[in-house]
Amino acid sequence: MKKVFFSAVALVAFSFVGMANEIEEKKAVQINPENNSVQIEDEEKSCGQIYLEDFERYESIGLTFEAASDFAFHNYKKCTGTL
Amino acid sequence: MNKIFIFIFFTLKIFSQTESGKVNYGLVIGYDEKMSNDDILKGYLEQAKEGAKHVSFDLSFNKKESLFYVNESIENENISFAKAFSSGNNIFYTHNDSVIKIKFVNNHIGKFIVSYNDNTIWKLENESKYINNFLCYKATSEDIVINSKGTFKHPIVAWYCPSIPFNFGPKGYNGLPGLILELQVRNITWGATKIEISNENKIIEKPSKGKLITEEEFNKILASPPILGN
Repeated sequence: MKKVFFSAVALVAFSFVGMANEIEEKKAVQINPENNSVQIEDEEKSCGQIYLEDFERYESIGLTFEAASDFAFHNYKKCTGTL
Repeated sequence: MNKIFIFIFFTLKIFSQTESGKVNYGLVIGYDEKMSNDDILKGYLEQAKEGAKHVSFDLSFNKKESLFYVNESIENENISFAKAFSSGNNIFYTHNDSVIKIKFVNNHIGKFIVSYNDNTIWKLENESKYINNFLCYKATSEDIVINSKGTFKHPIVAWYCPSIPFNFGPKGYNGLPGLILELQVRNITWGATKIEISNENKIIEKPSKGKLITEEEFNKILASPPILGN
């Protein structure tokens, strides 16, 4: 019998607001029908994580802490939808 | 010839009597290769260049102290980016009797009084030029940024005017034998547009609202993700 491999990819989007960081997460769920295993991968990062990554990227350009923080915070606000 | 000496004598005499002053600086934001290579920052830089046209700073000073601050202007994203590149959210205070400098920060994380050491070592050059009819001389140094990604050295070029006997300048830079009328740090330039000198002593009002912290503590806060609501 011909083995058929297929996978279903479902995007489950859920968001919640926490006290510390607003997180808007989307998960990619891969289901393997042979063994019914489920693999979940993060598709999007939290806004706080985006802040940290942007901050570090601006640091690597040699921006001052304050400028790096100002621009990373701008991106953070875009992410949280509060801009 | 004698007339020239008399002119210089009276010029020096006039400025030797000066007690205080105020200089208005315009802002110019130029090209930077590293910033332009970042897809997102490139756009912010272009917006900031436009915003800079509407941003100005004042340096108020007496014989001992100086205060450098941005002037009120309309608020939009271009201006906000111009201020972010040019430390426009800070007020810089210096006192000649102290090596510790202070910046008053009011940004998305709150109000802080940040003390810092300025290790700027100036190299005096022979080049000169006139700014607003004042003969200015060139001095150079490096702005050293140390962060988690390494040490970055950005060129500083200052044009100071020995005939204005105050050793202050934009963004807390001081220590030159004359007032700094033009300062460039990396791709950001503050240039004097209006100079007022007074024979009366002026009181410099040092801002006092904010949490007192060191620069190291302040930088640690900036390196943390923001808290929702800020």
